[in-house]
Amino acid sequence: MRTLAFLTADRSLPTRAPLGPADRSDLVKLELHGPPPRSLTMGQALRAEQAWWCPVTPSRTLVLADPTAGPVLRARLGEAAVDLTCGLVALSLSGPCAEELLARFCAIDTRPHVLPVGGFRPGSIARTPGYVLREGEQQLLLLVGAAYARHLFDVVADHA
Amino acid sequence: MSARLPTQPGEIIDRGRPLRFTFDGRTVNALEGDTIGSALYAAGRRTFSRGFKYHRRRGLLCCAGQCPNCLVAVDGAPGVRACTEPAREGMRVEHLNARPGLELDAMELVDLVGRPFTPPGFYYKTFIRPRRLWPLYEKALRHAAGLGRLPEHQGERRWRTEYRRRHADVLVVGAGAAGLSAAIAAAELGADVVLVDEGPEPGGRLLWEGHAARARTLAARARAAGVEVLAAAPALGHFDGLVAVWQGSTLHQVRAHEHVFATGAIEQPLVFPGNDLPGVMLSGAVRRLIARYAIAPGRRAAVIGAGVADVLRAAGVEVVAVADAVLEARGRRHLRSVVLPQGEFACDLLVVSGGEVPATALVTQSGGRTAYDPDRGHFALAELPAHVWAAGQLAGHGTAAECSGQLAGLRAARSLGRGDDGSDTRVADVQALLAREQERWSPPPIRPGTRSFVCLCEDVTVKDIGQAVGEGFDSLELCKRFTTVTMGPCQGRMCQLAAARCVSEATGAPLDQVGSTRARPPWSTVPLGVLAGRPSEPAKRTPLHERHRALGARIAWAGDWRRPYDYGDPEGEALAVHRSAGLIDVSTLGKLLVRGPQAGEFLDRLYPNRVSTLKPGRLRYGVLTSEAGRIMDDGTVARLDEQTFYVTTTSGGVAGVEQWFSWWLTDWQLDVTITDVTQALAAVDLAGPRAREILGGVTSLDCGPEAFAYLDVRQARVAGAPCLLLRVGFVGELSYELHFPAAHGEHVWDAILAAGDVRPFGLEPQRLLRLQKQHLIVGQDTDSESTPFAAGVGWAVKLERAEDFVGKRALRHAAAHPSETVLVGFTVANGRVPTEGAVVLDERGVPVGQVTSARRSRQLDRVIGMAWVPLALAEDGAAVTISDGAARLHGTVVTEPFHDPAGVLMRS
Amino acid sequence: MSFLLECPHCGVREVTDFAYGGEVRPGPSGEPSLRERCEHTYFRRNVAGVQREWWYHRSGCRAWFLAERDTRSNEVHWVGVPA
Repeated sequence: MRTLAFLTADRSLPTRAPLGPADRSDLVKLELHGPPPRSLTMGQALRAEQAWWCPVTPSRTLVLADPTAGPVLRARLGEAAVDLTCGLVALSLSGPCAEELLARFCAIDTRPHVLPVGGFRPGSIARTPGYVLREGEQQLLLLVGAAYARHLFDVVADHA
Repeated sequence: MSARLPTQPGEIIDRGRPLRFTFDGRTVNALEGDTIGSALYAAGRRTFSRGFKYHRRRGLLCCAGQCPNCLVAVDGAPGVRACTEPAREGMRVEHLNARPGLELDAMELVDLVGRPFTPPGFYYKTFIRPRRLWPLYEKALRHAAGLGRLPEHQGERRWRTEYRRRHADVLVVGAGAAGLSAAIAAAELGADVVLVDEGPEPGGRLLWEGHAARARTLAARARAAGVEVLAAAPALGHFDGLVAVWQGSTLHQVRAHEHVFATGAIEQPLVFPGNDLPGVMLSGAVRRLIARYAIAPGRRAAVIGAGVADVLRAAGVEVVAVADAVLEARGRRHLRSVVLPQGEFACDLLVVSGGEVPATALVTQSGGRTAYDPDRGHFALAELPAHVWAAGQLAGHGTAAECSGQLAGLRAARSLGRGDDGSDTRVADVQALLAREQERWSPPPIRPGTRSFVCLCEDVTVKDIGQAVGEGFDSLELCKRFTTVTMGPCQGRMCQLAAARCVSEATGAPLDQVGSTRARPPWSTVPLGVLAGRPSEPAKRTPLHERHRALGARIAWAGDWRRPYDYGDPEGEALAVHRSAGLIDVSTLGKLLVRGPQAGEFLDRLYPNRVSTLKPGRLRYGVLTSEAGRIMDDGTVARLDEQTFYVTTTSGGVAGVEQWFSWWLTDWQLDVTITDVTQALAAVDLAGPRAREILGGVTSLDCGPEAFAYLDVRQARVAGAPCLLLRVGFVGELSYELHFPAAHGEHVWDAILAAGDVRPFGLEPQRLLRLQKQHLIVGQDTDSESTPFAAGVGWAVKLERAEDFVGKRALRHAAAHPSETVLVGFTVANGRVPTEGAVVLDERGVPVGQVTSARRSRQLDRVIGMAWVPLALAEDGAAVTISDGAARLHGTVVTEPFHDPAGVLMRS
Repeated sequence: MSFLLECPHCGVREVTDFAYGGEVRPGPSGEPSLRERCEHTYFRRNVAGVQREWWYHRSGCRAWFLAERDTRSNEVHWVGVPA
C-alpha cells in the first residue's frame, strides 16, 4: 500500500453529498512540492491535461483536475503529490454578478484586467484562507478548507 | 407658516406627490424630494434640537449636513441630520436630548442659572466633591448630555448591512464641478474611476447656484465614460489608502491607486453674542432652502455681506438691513432683532457668512499637510503625498472648478501610465489657465461673549476657550482635549478655524504657529451597525457534524471549531468508555505531513525528544517548546516510512504549529516539505475494553496485542475506506485513533457504531477521561510560562542529546533551576468541585497557585483536578487549601494518574 | 491599521491577510551567556524607523518572507524571500 493511500477517497464507497449545484468539490486537488513540472508564472494558472496548474509559491503547485482526468494524473504524479481532494471545498460563482458577489466577502481584486482567465490568487475569502481562480470570463472558482464548506455556502447564500 | 414659493428653476420637490411622516408624534406634510428638515421648516418648525450642555434652542443653520443643529432620531436610530435626510412616507422622526419635550426642556435651566457651575472641564471641578457622589453625578450628566439612545442588541437592528470591496484606478471624493470633471478626464483616458458624493445627486453647489443643468450634463458624461457614481455616499475616512464610503446599508471599502479629493469648502458661521439663535442662518442654507425646496426662509431679513440679498428679495423676503459686521443677535425662543453697527433692526432671519474654508479633513488623513494662508484667512493645502490630488475649492480654485478638476484627473491618469505626451501638454495648458486665483480675504473679527458660541456641538464659547488657555491649556491640541472644542458631531467643520483663532487671540501666538486640529474618522456621522457589517463568524465543522446533530449532541465552540460538547449524558458517556467502548470525533486534531530526506533531522531540531530514531510504523508523544523552553503545543509524531512523518497537534494549535515549523524550515533550508492535511481527514478515537473486538469487526487488519501494539501505526481498510490507524491512549483505555478521507467520514462512523456496543462521547466526557489520567491540556493546564518539567512532562525532554534543538539551552537552565510551582493532581474530600481558576493558598493564606481543571468522576467516586502548587507541596498526600469564592476546600495532592496509574489498560 | 503588504508570491493584499513575525534578529552565536539568551528571548529593539522583519502569508500561500517597513509610516520599501 502507498504511504499516503489514506488521503485518497475511494469513489466506490459512499462519500459526502454535494452542498448544491455550485459545489465543485469533486475536482481532484493535488499539492506538488519542488519546482513545478510545467513552466508557470506566479499569479497565472496553466490549463493542461484537463487540469489547472496553479502556482502557490515557486516551489509549491496546486493542481485542480477534472474528476475524470484526476485519477490518471494522480497515478502519474505518484507520491510526489499530496492528495488534498478531501481537504478543500470548491465552489463556483458564475454569471455577470460573480465579481460583485465575491466583493461582498473577499478583498481580492478580481477585475478582469487584473485577474484574466486563468488568474489565480491565494488569499482570504469569507475570513478564511483560500484561493480564487478565474476559470472563465464570468466564472470564478473559490477554494477554502473543507471544514469551512458550510460556512462558505452560508455566506454565499446570504449575499446572493 | 411659510407657504411654498412659486416654482424655482432648480427645485427638486415634486409638488404632485405629497407624503406624510410624524415628528414627535405629530403628522407633518411634505413633498417628494423634501428632506425632513425642509418639510419641518416649511411647516413652521424653527427649533430642531437643544444644545449639548446649556440646552438652548437650535434651528437650521447650514442645511448642508454639516452642523449639529438638526440631529434627530429616525425610526429609533439617532444621529440623523434632518436637513439632508430625505423625507419618506410614514417615517417616525423624534427629537434628541430634551426632556420632557423639545419646546419645554427642563435642562434649559442650566443656561439660565447654571452657568457658574459649568466652566470647561466642569466635571473635574464642580462635580468632583464629595468624591463618593461622583457615580451619581456621572449618571445624571450622561443622561443630560447624550445624543440619543442606541438599540442595545444586535438583534434589534432591523436592516441588513454589508461590506463591498471595490478596487479602482482612481477614486474621486466629491462630485461637484471639480470632482465630476476630474472623474471624466481620468475615465476618458481609460482609467477605472469611482466617484462618491454625500449628496443625493451629483453636482454639488452647481445644483443650488443655478447650474443644475450643467451638473446633469457633467454627470451624464461621467457615466458615459464608465465612471461608477455613488450618490448619497459620504466618504468616512482614509485609512492607509483604503477609503470607507457609507451608502445606505453598504459600506464600500474602496482601494484606489490614485485619490482625487474635491471635497469643496465649508461655509463658516460668525462668532458673536447670540450666534446660535434659531433664525441665524448661513447664506448657503438660505440659497438651498429657496432654490431646492422653494421655501422662503423668513419674512424680514438682515444680511451680513451682500451676496444673498438679491436672492432673498427675489423670494419675496424683505431685506431690512445689509451690513459688514454684526454685534449681537437678540431673542429668547427665536431671533427677534439684530444689533448692527448702524443700529438695531427687528427681523426673523439673519443671514451670515464667515467665508468658505477648504474641507481638508479627508485629504489630511491621506497625508496632505495644511498651512495657514494669511492672504485668504484660512488653513489651505500646502503639500500632497504621492498619488493624491486635490481639485476645486479644496485646491484654492473656486471659480475655475472644472479646469481644476480636469487637471487633477489628467494627472491621476498620467500617474497610472494612461494617456500620452499629448496629455502632458494638456496638463501644462490647464495649469497655465489656473494661475492661482488670488482674491485676498480676511474673516470678520470674533466678538467675545458668554453666548458667543465657537463650537455648537459641544457648547463651547469664546469665553470658555479664553478660560482654558488661562488655566494653562494653551496649545490648540490641549485646549481641544480640555474643552472638547472641534470634537463634536460636526468634526470641526463649523469651528476648527474659529477655535484656532480664539486660541491665537488668547495666547498671542500667530495662527501659523497655532496650527489646526486634525479631524479623525469618521468624517460623517455613521451608524455603528454599518461599520460592524454583517455578523459572520467563520466556523469549522467536522465531516461528522450532521451525524452529531442527528444524535442530539450539544454543539459548542472549541476554538474555531463547532464540536459536540456531549450527547446529553456526559457521565454516562465516560462510563461507557470504561465499561465497553466509546467513539469520539477527533477530526479537529491538527495533522501535518512532514516529508523529505531530512524530515527526521528537521523534527529532531524542533522536538526536545528524538524523532529520527522512530522506526517506520511507530509513534511517540512529543511536546513542542519555544526558544524560551516553554510549552507551545503537544501531540504525537508517527513515522510512516523513511521520509514521511505524520504529526498531530492540538485542535487549536495546527495553524500555529505549521507557521512555527515553516519558519524554522525557511531559516534552516532543509530538504523537507510540510503539508497541512487537517481538513482532508476525518479522525475518530475508538476507546474502551471492547475496542479491539469492535475494530476487528470492520477491518481485516490483525489487531492483536502483538501484531498491533501500543504506539504502533498501521494502514488498512476500515469499513472499506483507506485508513491510518494509530494506537494511542490519551483517554486511559485501550484505544485506536483512526484517520481516513473526510469524504468517508459518515460511512466509517456509521460502520463502527453498528459494529458492537459502542457509544459516541463528546468533549466533556473526554476531558473527564483525560483528567483521570492527568493528561494535561495545553492552554488549559499550561500557560505561556510553563516548562515541560514543571508541567510534569519532563520525561519528553532529552537534554542528554548531543545535537541542538529549539529551546535546549533554556530547558537545560530550567532543569537546573526548578520552578516555584508545578502541576499536580489533587482530590477534594468534601465532594465539592472547585471552579477552574480557584486559588491555591499556603498555610498563611497567601495565594501560591491555581486550579486549572476539576471534575467529579463517577468511575472513581471522587472529585479530581489538576492545580499548580508550590514545589514543597508536590508530593503525594500533601494537603492544599483551595479558595473558591467564599468557600475553603481542602484537597490532597496525588502525583500519579487517578485511573490505572501503571497504564496497563491502554497498553493492553 | 489597514495598509497593504506585497507577498512576493501572491502580490498585494490587505495586512490582515498576514501574520507578523517580528524583527529579523540573528540568534546569539557560540555558547551565549544567560544574559545574552534572555536578551534574545525577551527583549525587542522597538525601532522607530525602517526595520527588516518577518511576515507570514497565513491566508494565502502560507510562506514566510521578509519585508523592510518603516514602523512610523507603515511604508514598505522592500519585500523578498530569504536567500
